[in-house]
Amino acid sequence: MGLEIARPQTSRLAPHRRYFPVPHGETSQTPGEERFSGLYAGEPETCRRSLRRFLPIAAHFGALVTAFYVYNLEGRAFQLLALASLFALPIHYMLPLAWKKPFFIVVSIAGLVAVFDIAASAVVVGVAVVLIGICYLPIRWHARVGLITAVMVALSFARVGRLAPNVSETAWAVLGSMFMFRMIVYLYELKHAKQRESLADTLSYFFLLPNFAFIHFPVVDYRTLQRGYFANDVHATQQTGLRMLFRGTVQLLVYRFIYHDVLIAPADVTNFATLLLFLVSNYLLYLHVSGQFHLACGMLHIFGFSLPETHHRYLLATSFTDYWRRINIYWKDFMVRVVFNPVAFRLKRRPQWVALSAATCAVFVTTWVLHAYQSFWLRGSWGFSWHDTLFWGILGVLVLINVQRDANTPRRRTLGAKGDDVPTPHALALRVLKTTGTFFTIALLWSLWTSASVSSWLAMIRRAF
Amino acid sequence: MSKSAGRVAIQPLLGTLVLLACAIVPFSVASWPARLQATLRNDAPNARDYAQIEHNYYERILDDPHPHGAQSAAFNPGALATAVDDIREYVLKPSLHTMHKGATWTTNARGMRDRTYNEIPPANMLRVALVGDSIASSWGVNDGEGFEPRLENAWRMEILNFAVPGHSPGQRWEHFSRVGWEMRPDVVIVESTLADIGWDERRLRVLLPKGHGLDAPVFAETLRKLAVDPTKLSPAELKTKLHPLRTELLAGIYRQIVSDCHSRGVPVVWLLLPRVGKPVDPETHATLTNLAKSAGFDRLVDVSGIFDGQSASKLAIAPDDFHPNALGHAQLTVAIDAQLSDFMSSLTVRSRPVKWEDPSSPHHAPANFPSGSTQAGVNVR
Repeated sequence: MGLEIARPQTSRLAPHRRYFPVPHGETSQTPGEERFSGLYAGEPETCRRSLRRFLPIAAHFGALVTAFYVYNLEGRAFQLLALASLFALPIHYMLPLAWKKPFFIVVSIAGLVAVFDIAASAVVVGVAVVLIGICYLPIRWHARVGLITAVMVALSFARVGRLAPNVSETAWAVLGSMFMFRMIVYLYELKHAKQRESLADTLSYFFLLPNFAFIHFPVVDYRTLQRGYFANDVHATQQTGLRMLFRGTVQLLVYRFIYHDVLIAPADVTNFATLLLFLVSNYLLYLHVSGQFHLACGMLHIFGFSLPETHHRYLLATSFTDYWRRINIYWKDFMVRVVFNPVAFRLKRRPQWVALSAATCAVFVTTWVLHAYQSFWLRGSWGFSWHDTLFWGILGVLVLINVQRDANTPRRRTLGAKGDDVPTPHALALRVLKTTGTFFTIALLWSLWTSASVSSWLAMIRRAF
Repeated sequence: MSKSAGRVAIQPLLGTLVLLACAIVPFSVASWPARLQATLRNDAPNARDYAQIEHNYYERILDDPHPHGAQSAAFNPGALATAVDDIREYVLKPSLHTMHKGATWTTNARGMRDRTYNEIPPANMLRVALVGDSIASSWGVNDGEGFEPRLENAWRMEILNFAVPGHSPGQRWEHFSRVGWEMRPDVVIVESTLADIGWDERRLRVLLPKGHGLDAPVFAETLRKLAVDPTKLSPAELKTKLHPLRTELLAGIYRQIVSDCHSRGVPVVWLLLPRVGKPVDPETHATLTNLAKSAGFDRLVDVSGIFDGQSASKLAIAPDDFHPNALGHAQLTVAIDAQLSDFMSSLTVRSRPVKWEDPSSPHHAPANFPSGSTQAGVNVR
């Protein structure tokens, strides 16, 4: 449907359905058993401890943390939290499952205090208590949403210094990062939840340790996070985390190389070759974001949270819908759940193209507004501008065209023999062409988005030709 | 559970070890692997952003109540600063009492982040002038929590804080020359950090096209070496011409500072401070120290290593900020006191000149204070 029409590049299951709930009572150990077999009573098999398998993981994580320090990666806050994770990991690993999540919350709050000062941490925890407390009030969902909205509006006045001038910038940025999107997801879940969410689940969702190093944080889905918790063998999850951490590290180092040695200033664009160099290097600066997201999710894996990847080879996208699906997958999932699906569902009796168009437009308008909303919470200013509007507008139109085209193109069946998947030279050439075209179009749009103004961007383009 | 579940992921493990090896292996200095290694370990902004940050960081934060607003906007004086049409670009607003970034921020009627002082110095108390940047101005901490008010309290002296956040060394001295001499200090402390090399070069790339800087005494000597009219150069040409002069610019400024002070018989101290979480590059450190030595400062105080080995998160005002917090300032106070108190206690209140008549031309010393009559009443090391 809509943005999901084309062949997905990753698992077709919705993110919150990719993992099964933690099975209970699968332990192979009986209470009376004397020798510790790696499981406490009542724990699932996925939790089974094995030093033989854990020690290499801890060692690899230690090597990665060393690399973070040696390369001075992502600032002191991240290095401190990575080190804290390294020390907390064995304790978390050995604790009974019921204690793991509370321990993770304690480590996260300790990380918050260690990274920021006591005053900022106190403000963050205080506001968090209020917001989360409202979510637990025994009143109707709409009333809770109304209260949360009222508090958020009051906080936004405080954010610009009208209500609480003594609260530091840092506290606002952290609060915004924790609640601006995740509260929307959480409230959405509360609306559909069949039972009350446990406090440990809720706190572990908002107090995510790596969030305090990366204020710009992926919009983690609540249900995905909870269902992924010890959903797979813990060692497999941790290995996935190590892969993510390694990938993030490499991406951040590549980013540094581009940033320091390749990137040129828009003012240095004087001909077509320098324009190309600028477009490519400027676009590749996004490796900073994808690298950070990989590190953040990798750290969560270390503590048993199995999550889908945040980015999937977005530089190789073959169309604009494909690009939208591959880059910042969590954002795409967030938009699909809270905007696309509700709009498309409301218009299900209309012709398909109408529903798809309306839902896609709604997604891009919301994305545009929410990026400004994010800028407000993280930086204190809304950041609306013409070039920003143009970027989201043009990208939205391109995706809209692609969505309609995909909807009218019969899907090729993929259940044939394996040999059917080997591309012909013609198909391969077409794919290369599509990938190149998508890459440079997005790079051009990206340069518009990051430019100082539309006029300066046009001046740069004129200098190139 | 699949059989591969939990197996050691060999590729990322090997990759991590390779990354570690690449960071640790010593390459010959000029080789491309060494340059790549330096790039990959470099978490600082690139040259272009650095130039913008040094200026825009303070512009954005000093100017409007919405910090981090329009990054590329022209300077817009606002809450803490006011624009001036000379090489200083802006100065602190006078008589301000406000909250900034969660800290109290108060300036006196002279635009100093300090308490009020009489123009006439007290008869039996030494008057010290502090010239510096954001760290000296106690950026990010409450009034009274910086090292300057703490030292003032400890030394029982008047320390007048002329520091302006975001000013380059040349701008700092120009500012002091215009407003500081009239307060007749007995000694001047010039604060510096490792960020000072190149700072004036970056400011001059902005100032020279606007017609500022060529006639400024702090820059004049060095800029004469350009041998061209910098206002007629393109930004790229100006950058090419100025870049090789970055160290020389600072050397010229230091010489000017020492000359100005000594011509008034005022001893001058060079104080090198650390930035929290910023490693001290030995090469830059040596260059800066040598410049100060050869300029002839009366005392060199280097406390740049005092934060080494300590958790930066405990000492900085924010996780990704290099400005020390109140604890950091307390440590700075102790370290400066340990290295400088003997020098300060050896100073006596000298016979002060009459009020400085022409602060905009500080290089014409008054007749009763001839050049060369340095260290009057002062035992200089």
